[in-house]
Amino acid sequence: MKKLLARDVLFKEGEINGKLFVIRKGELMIQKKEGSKVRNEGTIGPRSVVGIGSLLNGEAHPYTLRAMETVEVEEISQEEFQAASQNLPVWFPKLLGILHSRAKHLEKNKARLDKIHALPSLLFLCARYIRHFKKDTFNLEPMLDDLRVLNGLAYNDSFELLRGLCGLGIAELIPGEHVQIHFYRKNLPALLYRTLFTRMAGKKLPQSLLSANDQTILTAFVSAAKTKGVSKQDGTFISVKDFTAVYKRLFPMLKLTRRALENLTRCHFLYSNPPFHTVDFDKIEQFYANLETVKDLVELNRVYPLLDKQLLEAMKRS
Amino acid sequence: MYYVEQGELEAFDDNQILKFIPQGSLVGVTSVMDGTPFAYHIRAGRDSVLVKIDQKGLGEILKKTPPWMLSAINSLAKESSHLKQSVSKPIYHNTLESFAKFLALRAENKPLDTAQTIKEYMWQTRSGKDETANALKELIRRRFVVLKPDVSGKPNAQMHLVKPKLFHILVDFLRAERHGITYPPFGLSQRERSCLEFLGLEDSLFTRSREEWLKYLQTATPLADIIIMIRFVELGIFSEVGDSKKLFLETETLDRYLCAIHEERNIRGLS
Repeated sequence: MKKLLARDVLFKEGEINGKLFVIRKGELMIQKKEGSKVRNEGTIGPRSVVGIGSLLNGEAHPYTLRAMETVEVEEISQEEFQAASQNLPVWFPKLLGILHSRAKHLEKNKARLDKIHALPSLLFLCARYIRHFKKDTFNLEPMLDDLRVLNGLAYNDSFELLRGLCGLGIAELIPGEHVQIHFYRKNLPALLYRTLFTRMAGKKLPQSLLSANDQTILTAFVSAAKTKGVSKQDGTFISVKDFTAVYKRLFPMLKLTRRALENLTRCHFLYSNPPFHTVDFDKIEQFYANLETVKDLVELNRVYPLLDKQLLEAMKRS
Repeated sequence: MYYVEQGELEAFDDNQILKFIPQGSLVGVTSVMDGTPFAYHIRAGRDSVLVKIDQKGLGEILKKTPPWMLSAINSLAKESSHLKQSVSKPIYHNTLESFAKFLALRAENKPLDTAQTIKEYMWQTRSGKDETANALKELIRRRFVVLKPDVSGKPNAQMHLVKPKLFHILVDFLRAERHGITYPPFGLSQRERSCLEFLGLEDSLFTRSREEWLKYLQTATPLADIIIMIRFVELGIFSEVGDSKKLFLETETLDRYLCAIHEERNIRGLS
């Protein structure tokens, strides 16, 4: 039996010692590194078993265990495990391995689901921080603290989720004394959040999710605006001639018809001069829209489908 | 549960082989542990010898098993069952803390639609209907939220947040309570509170030397001493201005402290 005094460490996070421990007496604090801080994750007490992965597969301990009072621990080494296994049927120790890998699989699955479920809260907080600071760059730590209170996602998992989002090309992390996040388009977190919420709350597709046809038109609008756009009031104006030329160049197989433009004008994403529904298509002289809004929409429609699968992959890569 | 002593088994479904189960494997562990049916059919891939492990056989072996190994098996079984049950449950520490944080961030300069707000919160956190309703009731009881009928005649009640910035204070208080720490504004003595109230009246000169601040405080609270000054610096109510030995009054922090003190009964839920 091993004895520990208050504040003694049973094992450190990341330590590999191939041992299993059964707590017989006393309480220990679970501590986990989160960036530069150490966070207390709760306690374990008598009859708790820790280090099964360490004993069976030589895995590193996933956290530090520190005694909070006098603690008595039964320590099982790999030699003792081998010796005990010899007195049992050959399949019995395997049962321990199967149960361990099953628990690990469930744990991994839960961690993945927790991160996916925290995505709306993360986007909600990013949108609120951008609005509050009126900037597209802000310190991460207070936001991650808020995420922990609101959703419960731990710091390391939140960081992984953020790195996943950065992997989709919507933001970048800026290292330094205080790590910051910079969003390339400051309206995107709010737009993504609203779209996800509308999708969840209603049966209809949110207006912001565009068809492939609408996306081609807005992409052409953004492209034409770069060279031929004229900024007036709150909008960017492009003549029909220039717009059609760019559209033909970008999408030679597609034809720009009145019908193709109907949805975008109905949703007020794109306007025409004279107004779309008052004249024939060939009488329209200009198209105009708020360029930043259009760019946000195009970006939203690029990123939204990636959330399904590529976010998980981006998290794995990070 | 079976142990493949010799040979090889095949797991199959609709005549399609899903996987081979080699010699030395255990089959049906999940089925035994969870009491669920086998996930797929099993057949012998070649001549095989299996050891059938039933409850009786298992019981006999468990008698010979060292107690630590039994504890380990028990712990793994409990862990798996807990993980399965908790997969769709919220992971935050406390519903009231989480809901108050959500409302603090969600606050607009207008009332919130109650049903929509609750729906949004539950979606974000996986919180249950009852838990969320209880958290809302608690906020109403603590006078943080008032529900009023919708003026436009819609059936849904409107949620009025009494003082949105109080929600952040409530979250800090609940967090301190959860960690067994005294929430700093509530740990202040009567004398310190009087000094804070007096500082709250200051609206022009925010930078003074330590001695000047002390003299200023003593005009209203004669018993104010240098210990109070040190404590206020520690609490962030004063901050040191470079090397000038002057102290700057952090009005935002002071405001938060005063707000907490004035609403102490509601924040503590004593009203």
